Amino acid sequence: MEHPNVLNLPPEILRLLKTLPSPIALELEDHLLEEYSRHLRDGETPERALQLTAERFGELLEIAPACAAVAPSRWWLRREAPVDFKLVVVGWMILSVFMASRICFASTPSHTSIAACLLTGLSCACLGAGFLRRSGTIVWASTVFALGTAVISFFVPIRQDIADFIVSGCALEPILLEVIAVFSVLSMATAWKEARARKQLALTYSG
Amino acid sequence: MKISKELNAASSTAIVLGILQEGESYGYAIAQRVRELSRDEVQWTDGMLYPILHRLEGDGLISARWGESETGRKRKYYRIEPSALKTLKEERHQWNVVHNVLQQLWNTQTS
Repeated sequence: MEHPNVLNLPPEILRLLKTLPSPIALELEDHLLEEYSRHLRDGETPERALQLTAERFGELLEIAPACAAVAPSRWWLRREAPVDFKLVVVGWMILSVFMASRICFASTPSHTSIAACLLTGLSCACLGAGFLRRSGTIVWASTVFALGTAVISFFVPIRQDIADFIVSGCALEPILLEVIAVFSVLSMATAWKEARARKQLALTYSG
Repeated sequence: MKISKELNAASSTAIVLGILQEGESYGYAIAQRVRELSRDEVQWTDGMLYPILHRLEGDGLISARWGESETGRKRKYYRIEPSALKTLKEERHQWNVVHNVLQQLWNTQTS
């Protein structure tokens, strides 16, 4: 979306507005325009009006990213979202589809294997959705999931019955379970990082 | 006399929810209302309001819709959700407790 330079804003602020999700940029721009217009109506020169607007608004370079970080929706527009966060979201979504589709490839699909694949797929989808919403509870969910998969993958090499169940019952190669376990731990770390950032923002902006 | 940054931060949720309880509003108008109510003593930078609004929206305490300003620009309007009334009630109770404690202390000290 275009952000017309109606305020004659400095280039660095314009560049910043362009990197923001459009709804946030529009909202901040609306505020800046309203304040600027008020100063003009009060008889200030355009230069002085711009200066007063900027002073009153505060440091846009700090405020804009803070807005983007706590915005509840349109996560896909947040260009400042770190790579690990995007990877985790995409990873969980792919895993959810993959796990659900394993049912089709199971050599001996049983009620147990169908339920296991569906449950794992559903858990992955829930974790992905939780990350999308940047929900606070996702930290605990991903921790439990990561610990669960890590414990199971630890037992696979030493307990043949567990390995057999995973291979024949759930149509999963044990190595895949270990991949999921590693990915779970990585996503848990991302979730903790997110939670810490949210806490920091809450302290900074709301006390 | 200006209100400290820490006190501003601590009171922001109660103030924003209180203003939105008066009716639907948007960022600039909320900032103006804060100035008006505090006779310019609550010194928020206006921009500080937006992370607060977005956080409250994320917490489901307020909801937002896009409308138009009188000049036809897009504008985001916020309104309080029924679930926020409980939060507001709790905030009010907590601030009243603090207020009463301080008032009693200072009344004793001045008498």
